[in-house]
Amino acid sequence: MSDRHDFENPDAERFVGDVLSRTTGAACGRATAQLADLMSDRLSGLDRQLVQAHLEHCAGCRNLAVTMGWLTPLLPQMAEFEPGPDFMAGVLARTSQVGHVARPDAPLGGAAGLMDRVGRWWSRRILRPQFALQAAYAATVVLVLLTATPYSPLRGLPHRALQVVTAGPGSAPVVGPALARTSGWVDVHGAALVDGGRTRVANRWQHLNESLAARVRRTTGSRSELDNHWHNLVAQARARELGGVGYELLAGMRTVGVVWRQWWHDDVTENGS
Amino acid sequence: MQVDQTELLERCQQGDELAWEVLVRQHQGRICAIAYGYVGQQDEALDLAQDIFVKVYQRLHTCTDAEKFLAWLIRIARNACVDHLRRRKARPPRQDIPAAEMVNLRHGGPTPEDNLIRSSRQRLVHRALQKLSEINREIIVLKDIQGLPLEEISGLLDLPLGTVKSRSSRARLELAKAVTDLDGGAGAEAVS
Ligand SMILES: [Zn+2]
Repeated sequence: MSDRHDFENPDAERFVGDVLSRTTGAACGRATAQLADLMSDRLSGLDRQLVQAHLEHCAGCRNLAVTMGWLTPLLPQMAEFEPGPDFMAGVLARTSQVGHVARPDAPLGGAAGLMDRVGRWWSRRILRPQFALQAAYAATVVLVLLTATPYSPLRGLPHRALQVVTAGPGSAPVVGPALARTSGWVDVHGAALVDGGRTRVANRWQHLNESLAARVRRTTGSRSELDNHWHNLVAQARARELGGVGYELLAGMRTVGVVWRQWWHDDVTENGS
Repeated sequence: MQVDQTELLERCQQGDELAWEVLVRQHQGRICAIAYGYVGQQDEALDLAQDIFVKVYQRLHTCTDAEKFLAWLIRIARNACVDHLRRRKARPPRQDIPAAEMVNLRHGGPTPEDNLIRSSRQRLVHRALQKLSEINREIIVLKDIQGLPLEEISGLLDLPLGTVKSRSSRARLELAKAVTDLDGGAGAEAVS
């Protein structure tokens, strides 16, 4: 170390600090960001030299580097922690108080064994509080897979059914022809009726039609809400948020109740939120 | 003793106490370490680890794949720790009593002085972990201490893989800073 380049000199340190503060600012941020790479030998020649040069003159970063040096190999050694003999006794005491599935009996062979295992599996599941929720969820998934997936034979069925109930017999795409035939039957056999009877049938059909349209109208809001709950439920299930799935399922079931009540009673005004 | 894990799990699911005891012994070190990493207090961590095993016992029948048992176990442990910390936040904080002497560490071996320095450093790390943000603490416990792959951590924390990756080196740096602040960088924390 020559006298001319004596950077250990406090004045020289202050000088460099002053220049940095008026130009780039302190280099500690850059240096610490590269410490992990330096420790794991991932720094190239010049970068390595620059960081090392900074460490020579910056006590703060040097301390950090020292800490990183022992911290990195220490952390994996903390993966296990022996709790002492009392721990096991405590766990066994507590789990012995908790109800559990049937104890192992002599295993049965063949079909009887299979039935026995299926029976145990079922009895374990049906006793769980979440079982009803999970069963309802599974049923909904099956229903949607059957009616909403692109290649499903039942695709679009709910939509078509709704069309049938909202439109007249002639316009319904699937049930329409059948209803039209029925209407032909009414024509033929209705000939035996007096004109008043024919009018009564027509009036009834019109009344039914209007009543259906009103029901569809007044459930529009709650049905759209049901749709929202369904989409949220799928999103929560994708994010593996069981709590969210449960909430959406319950909210959805409540909304189904609202749709049901609004469908059958024209004075229901509550919303399903 | 090499026990077939699938059979062991089945026996546990049938309520076999001996199998359950072996299963607890196999995993107690890891579960206690995870709980300690999260809560930073040894006694509290051991209570919590017991709670975790009781939860595991009650839910054993939901684990159907023995190969995924460890991931399943860690998920339960992690969720229990996070719940515990949330509940603790709602209560007044406990006195910051220094953790009691670490009990025998599995990776023992070197001299008594080495062990003393190491256990004193480990206490320091546990104290420093409590200074970190929740997310940084989780990444240190799961990645740097438990060595879980980033993909698994991303699933556990419900964070994008990129976020976990970029967080991971920053979390280590934050931990080093917290340790240095507590200790002054010597890393020996008043071994006396
Ligand atoms: Zn610096």
